[in-house]
Amino acid sequence: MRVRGGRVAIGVAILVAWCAFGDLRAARSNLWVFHEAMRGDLVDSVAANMQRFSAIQRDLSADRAVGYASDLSRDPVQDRFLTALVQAQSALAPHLVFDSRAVTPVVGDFPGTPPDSAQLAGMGLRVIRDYGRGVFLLSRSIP
Amino acid sequence: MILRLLAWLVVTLAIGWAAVMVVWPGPVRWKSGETLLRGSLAVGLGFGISSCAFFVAMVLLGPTRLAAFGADAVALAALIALARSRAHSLPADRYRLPNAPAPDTLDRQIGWGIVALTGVAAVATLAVSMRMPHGDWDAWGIYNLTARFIYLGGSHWHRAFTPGLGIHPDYPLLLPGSVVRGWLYTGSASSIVPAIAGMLFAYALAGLVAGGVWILRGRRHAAAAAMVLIGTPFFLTASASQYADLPLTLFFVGAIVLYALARRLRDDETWMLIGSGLCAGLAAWTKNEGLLFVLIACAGLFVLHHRVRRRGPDRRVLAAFLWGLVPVLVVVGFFKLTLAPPNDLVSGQGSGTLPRLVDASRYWLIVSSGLRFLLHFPVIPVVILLALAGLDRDAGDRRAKRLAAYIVLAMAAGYFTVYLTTPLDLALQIHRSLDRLIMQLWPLALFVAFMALRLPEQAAAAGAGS
Repeated sequence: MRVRGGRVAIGVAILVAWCAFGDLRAARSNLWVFHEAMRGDLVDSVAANMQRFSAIQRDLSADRAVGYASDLSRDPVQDRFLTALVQAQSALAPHLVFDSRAVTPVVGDFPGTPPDSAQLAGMGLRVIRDYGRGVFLLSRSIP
Repeated sequence: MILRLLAWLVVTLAIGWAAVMVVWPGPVRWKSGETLLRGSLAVGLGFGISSCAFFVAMVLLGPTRLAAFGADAVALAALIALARSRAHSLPADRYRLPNAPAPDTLDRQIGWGIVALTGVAAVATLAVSMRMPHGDWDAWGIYNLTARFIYLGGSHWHRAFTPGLGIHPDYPLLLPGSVVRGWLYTGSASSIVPAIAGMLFAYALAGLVAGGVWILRGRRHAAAAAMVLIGTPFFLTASASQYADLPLTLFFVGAIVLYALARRLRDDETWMLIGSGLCAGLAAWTKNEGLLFVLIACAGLFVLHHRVRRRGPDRRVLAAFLWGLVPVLVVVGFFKLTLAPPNDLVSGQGSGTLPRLVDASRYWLIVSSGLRFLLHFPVIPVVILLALAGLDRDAGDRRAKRLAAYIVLAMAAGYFTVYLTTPLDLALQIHRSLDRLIMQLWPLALFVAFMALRLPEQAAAAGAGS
């Protein structure tokens, strides 16, 4: 059977235009990254969290799991709590960090406004050490 | 650091190349589809075989440099010895495919077009990679997290599989194992190692689809297929996100392409079928979806070659495929039975499963979301081209095309069932995973489409088997 060249050319032209447009749009929508990188403004949340948690890592025992507390929303759609927990787990590896306040000591992760002692007491926790930038080592408060 | 990084890459690719020369020996013809296909396969097989060997060594010796270097040395030496013995025992042209016609002006122009498109895609990929050097959510929440616990854990490396750590500590170790190997070579847990692995997998996948279609159908079919894959916006994001979906689909396509080539070279198809089975096994070593692929591929091969006769050629096809598959499945099975915690989707089944199965709204949500997400992929121009150019029913490779098409449909049905029965919030799960699942099947679907497409091209498919 003969192939109909004109129709094929139209099909190929649509294909090429579609793919080129897709690639150009993807490249264009990401060009801001290069500008920010040149200005030194590019923020990588994983690396930033690794740096935030680096000080507390020294005070954790290698053989002991730790708990985790945060005031971030547990809304499953936004995932802010889960994202912060897993980033803390990654930053503190190989220490095991569990989503629990019953496991002590507890790593406090409050990237927004630092909690006051009354808020922490409400969670049943007290500060052992404040490392700055919203990172705390906490223990369970004695009732 | 750079030299050590290069050493990791060179050793990995050397293992892959040696494996390719075992399943597909013969002289290298540069500037051909064969070289593109072999090189792309070498990336997948290199990372796959070395991570399997490293896992075995790690179980014995822990995540040490001795385990990484020793496993690599043993794998490389064994594969080189096997490749040499294969090369010496075969006539030079045993695996020789028919020569493709020389490229004309239009072919050269298409080639430059592909280079330009790849350049634009590379800029986008680089930008995404700079924006998230540790990859996207699943990369740092699953694969790189597992790799960090293994690498930094020392004798406690098995803590990487603790329930509650990350989101899927049960996932197999092809990516984490490759990353840990890279870190052991470089001496630090640098984010550049998983980033390089992710990009290599992505561009090897594009090369594999293009190389496979090039050899089996011709240069222009291959160019169109490569263009669509590289022009898929989600492919660009996925190549920088360090997810396991592109490595997974690389092994899907690798298994099918090697099967198709084996059917072409009927005189000595055994080793290519072993390679095909090996790719299927490595898919299972990459992600849980790979286990579904293994089941579906085995069932498909059984049906396609159902005329089982004692010592007959059809029975040999399945046997050779299993020879490649089973060793990797043993490693996967050992991991799943001794280290991996239960999978949340499986352990969440129970009394709630039946009500989920009979809930019509879940069917509608999955179907409507599927159609919506599918439009994020360049399906429309491919359908238009197929409609305008038509299907070439005489092009051969009928069994390979049937197998690939059946696998795409059966995998889609499998994913549909997983969504239907998931104990997690369905809408949320669809939102987080459906584009990646479509991406897993997209390259294989493109392979089928461009194998079947009728284009005005000189038939490089001469001598096609069925």
